[in-house]
Amino acid sequence: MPGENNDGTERDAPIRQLPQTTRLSTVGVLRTVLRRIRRDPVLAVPFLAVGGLIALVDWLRTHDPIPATASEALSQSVSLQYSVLPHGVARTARHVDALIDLKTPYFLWAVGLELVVPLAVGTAGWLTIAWALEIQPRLRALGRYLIVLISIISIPRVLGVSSINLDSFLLGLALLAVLLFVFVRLFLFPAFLVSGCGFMPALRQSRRRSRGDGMTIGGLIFVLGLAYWGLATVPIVGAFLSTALVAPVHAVALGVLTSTETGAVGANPSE
Amino acid sequence: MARYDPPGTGYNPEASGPKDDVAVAWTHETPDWFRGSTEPISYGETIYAGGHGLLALDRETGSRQFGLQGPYQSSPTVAPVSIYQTKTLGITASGGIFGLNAGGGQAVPLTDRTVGGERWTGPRSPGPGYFGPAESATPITANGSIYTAVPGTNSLVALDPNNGEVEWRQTHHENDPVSGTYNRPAVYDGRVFVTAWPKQATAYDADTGEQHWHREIGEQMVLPPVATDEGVVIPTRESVQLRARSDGSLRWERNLEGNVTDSAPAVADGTIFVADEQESLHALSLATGETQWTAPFSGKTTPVVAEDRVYAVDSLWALEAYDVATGEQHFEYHPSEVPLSPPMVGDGILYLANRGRILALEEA
Repeated sequence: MPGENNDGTERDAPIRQLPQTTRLSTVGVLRTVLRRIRRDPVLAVPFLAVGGLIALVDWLRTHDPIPATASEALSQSVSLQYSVLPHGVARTARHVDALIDLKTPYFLWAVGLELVVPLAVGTAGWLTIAWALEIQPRLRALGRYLIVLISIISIPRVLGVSSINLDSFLLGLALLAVLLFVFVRLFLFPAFLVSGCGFMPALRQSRRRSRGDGMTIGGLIFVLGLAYWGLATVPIVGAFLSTALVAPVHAVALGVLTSTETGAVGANPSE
Repeated sequence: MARYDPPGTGYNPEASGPKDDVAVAWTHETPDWFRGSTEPISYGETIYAGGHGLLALDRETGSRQFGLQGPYQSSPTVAPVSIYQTKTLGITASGGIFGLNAGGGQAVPLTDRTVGGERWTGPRSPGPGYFGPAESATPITANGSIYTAVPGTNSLVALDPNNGEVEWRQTHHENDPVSGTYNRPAVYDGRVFVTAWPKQATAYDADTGEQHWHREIGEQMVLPPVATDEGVVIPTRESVQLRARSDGSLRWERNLEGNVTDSAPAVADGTIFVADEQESLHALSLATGETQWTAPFSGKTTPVVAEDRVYAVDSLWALEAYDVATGEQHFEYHPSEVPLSPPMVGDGILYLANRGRILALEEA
């Protein structure tokens, strides 16, 4: 369960670093994560609740009179639904375009519905990562975490870019490599946010701490991205499964990768 | 909506147009992406025209209110909504059916983007077929719903204008490779009348989609119907028929020895105006099918009627005006560009889409 944090001030690098010689494997991290969740099932509770909430919101979107569409990812033959922050994949989506010029009661309803999901996802992510790091969850960190989450969700929507489709194979591979590099470097960003770092220190820490673990983190991004998408494609209960099963693994993996405990449990010594 | 009203008469009893000659009242040079060839419509003080997007112009001056670039091709139809402050425009493209914001949405500061322009995407069309992309269909609004064929399919749908949800869907030759998209539906007195290749004429309940009657017409090629008090006017390649609204039984058939493939009739005050795509524009009695007059006219057309004039664009390139009572031609107008859309009439003005322009023509 959450550890007590005795340091009341904000820190740039609040978590002890792994020994420089330690290297983690993707499978090792996942095994460690599953062991952590088995040992401490409460870690799965926040996203279990959020999974139910997202499934409910899916149902509400399809039954209220405001336009909604099927999630774009579900129509793809294969999709990596990875996001820097642990999240859930809904089976429905509501575009910003559908909200413009709504009458006030419908507007408030639709905006409320669209806000409750990121707020719940953000809170669950913040809580689960903090528990996985065994630190005290801090409200200031939650605020930063939610700002990042809402930015990630809303900016692409406003700009009309909801996903990246790789039509040209070679261009796609190149783009994928670049994106993967960026995502690897950003992978630990949420953990440092939750631990109390500001935006820039968290980015710096994430970039620094991910060096040397690129393959492991890249593997995690693939596994998590495919799992988020694959489970979401299950009819009716896909949103619940995707959120309740994958997001806790994602969140605990962040804790595992940034905690000293990992080195003892899931790491393989490098050559 | 295109053809003025849900029955598809093409006759606006409240409107009048130029009588003896026309002059350009205003011209709107459209953005590069616009290619207009379908009939503009009006709502309030705004003219809407579809063609690789949607343009909204001030009716009085022709100045642009907004433009939405997109796949939209057909004439739009204005539909009432209960959840939005502005109406929805139903519009179709080869890819499917779309619901647009009649107010145009909101501009995103510091970008050239607009949000809230397209509210919903309705039923989608399958991909391009053997003959290329499907043609867009003409949607209409009646009884609070949008009725339209789904481009590239054999289906007719009724949609909720709020969100594009399908209220009902009917498909002819569902398990048959025969393919004929429904023509523009005509709605009258709670029934939706549709025709389609081959030989299809059907009436559905406007609320439930339940089939009231179905008839196989004698000819393969069947054009868009017009619903009237007297019955349903159904043009075919060679002839014009009047069928009972109640059961589709044949009232009369008039063989014009035509070769009609792409025209639709107008009906006003008991007279049908229809081209035979051979050499004549015909005025026929709605009650009996007897000829009232014929005028030389060689091409395809979808005429409109206002006051004492029939306005017909011949083969998308020449606007001609005829006297309703005698068939005497009063003027002919050739634009500098083609294609020229069927006109929309209002307040002494004719509004037409003309490839890269929208035209307003007034009495010279």
